[in-house]
Amino acid sequence: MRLLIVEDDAELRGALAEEMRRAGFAVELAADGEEGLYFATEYPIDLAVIDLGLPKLPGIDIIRRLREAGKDYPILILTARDRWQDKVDGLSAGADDYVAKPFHVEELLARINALLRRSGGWASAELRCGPVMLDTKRQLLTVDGQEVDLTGHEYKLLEHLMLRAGEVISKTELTERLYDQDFERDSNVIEVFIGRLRKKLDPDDAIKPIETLRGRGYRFALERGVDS
Amino acid sequence: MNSLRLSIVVSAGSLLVIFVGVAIGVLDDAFRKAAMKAEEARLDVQLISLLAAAKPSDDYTLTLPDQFPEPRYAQPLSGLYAAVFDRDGREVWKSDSTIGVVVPWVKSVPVGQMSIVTLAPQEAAELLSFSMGITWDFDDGTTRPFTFHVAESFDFFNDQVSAYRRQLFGWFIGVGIALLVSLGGLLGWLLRPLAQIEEEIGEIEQGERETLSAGYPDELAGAARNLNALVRRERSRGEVYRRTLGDLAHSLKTPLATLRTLLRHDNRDDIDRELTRMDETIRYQLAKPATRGRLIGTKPFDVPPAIDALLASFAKIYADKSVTVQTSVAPALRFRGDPSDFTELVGNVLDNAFKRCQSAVWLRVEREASGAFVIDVSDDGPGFPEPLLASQEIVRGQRLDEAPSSQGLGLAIVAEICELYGASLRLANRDGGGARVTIAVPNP
Repeated sequence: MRLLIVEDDAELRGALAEEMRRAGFAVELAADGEEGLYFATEYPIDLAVIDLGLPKLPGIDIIRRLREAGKDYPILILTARDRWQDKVDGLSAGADDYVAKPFHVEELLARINALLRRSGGWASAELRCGPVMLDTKRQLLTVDGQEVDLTGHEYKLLEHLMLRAGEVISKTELTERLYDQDFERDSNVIEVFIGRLRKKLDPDDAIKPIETLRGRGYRFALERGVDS
Repeated sequence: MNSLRLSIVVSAGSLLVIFVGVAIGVLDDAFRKAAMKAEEARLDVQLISLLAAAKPSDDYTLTLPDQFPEPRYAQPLSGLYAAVFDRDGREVWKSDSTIGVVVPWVKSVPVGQMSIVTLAPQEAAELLSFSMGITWDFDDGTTRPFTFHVAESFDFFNDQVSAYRRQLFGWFIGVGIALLVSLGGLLGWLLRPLAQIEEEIGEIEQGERETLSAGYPDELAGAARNLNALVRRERSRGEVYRRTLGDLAHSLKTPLATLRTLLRHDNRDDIDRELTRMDETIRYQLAKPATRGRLIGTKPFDVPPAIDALLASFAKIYADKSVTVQTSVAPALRFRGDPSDFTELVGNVLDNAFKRCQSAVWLRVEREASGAFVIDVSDDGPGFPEPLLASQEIVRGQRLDEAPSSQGLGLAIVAEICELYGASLRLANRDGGGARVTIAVPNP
């Protein structure tokens, strides 16, 4: 998942970027409102974290313009103003949630994950597709009730696929959204990870959770919900 | 023109000039007409007396005496002239005063007729001339027509008119000036309260006076009252800022001291607790100065859209908690106060309710029959603890070391706003369990 963080304070921006990367996100950074709007419009973004008090273009205007331009990915407001009117203004402009400064990174991460999950159409933190269950809160995978160990990259890839279960996601998109630019952008890496995931999820090749559509990408093929 | 007094005097002066101008015109015209009538009457009398003085002579002509009761006939260029002409326009007689003047008489006037004309001799001023055609019956029965002429210079008439004008102008100018001066004086006296207000505002600015004095006339009493309210509000605002800053500084230093002590050990949880304490202190202490309160002339705003925006926000914030909100908001309800204060008030109460509820929140906003504006929020959570219900004592106005606990922070902020609006805040538990917060704002 690729996050955009628009925050004018360099210290906080750097710290956030580090924390988000550690949590497995690819991160774009913008230091002012205009740069933020540009990245938010031009880059493949899954979620934007926007500070309300920004130089050049206020955060609320970025949100309004993005929504007017039809960008519908989740937007989380960071704000140091904690009067309700400020929160209501931001949310009415089109943001989906807010986190007031000073915040705990855990709180921010939880809110980001919840927004991503909801934007994928999942109401609960536990994503269930047949026998596969991904607990996004605890970052835990079980298949038929059995816990399965995943590396960080594997988890992020599976989460991305499952959040949008049923949709075809191109290899390019997966590369773009899962890894930072400094990471080796080799689509073979994705193939390797997909191969590993298949082995871990379906060692007997019985449920075929991940479908490969030649030339188009991948799809998490199991139906959402519990198999009856 | 910035002086009220000057503008009144100038506009009254302009009106006066127009009024006096018209009055002078009308009076002057009336006087001229009257003077002209008098002049004509005088000439008529002269003509009659001339007729009476004429005597017939044997050669069917007329003679007039050398001496007249009117001395001006005998005095050359006196301004009063007379002459008599016979049927053929031959001069029968003329007064001695005509010596040196060629009066261009209208030679003959038909018998029984009267002619009034203005004559302009070269040697003298304009004349008003009366001429009358008569038939004289001589003793032997012979009749002859004659024309009698009298003329008087306009000088006399003109003198009269200009004397009158001088007097007229003199009086009007005198009266006008007197009027303007007394108007100016009167205004100064009437506008004295304004000067007083100005002076008192100056004194307030200098810090020599607390408020405007009482006893202004009705027209100004309202303005004085509002000014006083404004001054008092400014002053209490300043007081709030000063106290807040003092409390804030004091209460942030304690956790800072704790933090410094904690730095010696790697005790993250303790450091985090202190940071939370500082954050909440800032939120709590700044809530009051951020509240605008009910300013003079605050316009009422529509409540339902504000509630809708809040509920839409809560739907997003608590998207993962399925909460049913039952609202009862009177349509077209208006609240006289600052919209962001209202949002802060309802937002904090609702936030507590959403946080504590299991699945239901009730919101009622309406104006009661008493006129009070009521906000009533309840939830199906655990409700308030008994001691709090008994005391109704929401920590307020205290310093940071006694800052409210996390759940209490919202309520403490609500209590501060209520205090600024003179509103009552009541905590209760709902019949079916859960907390209930009722706020009543008196809205005169």
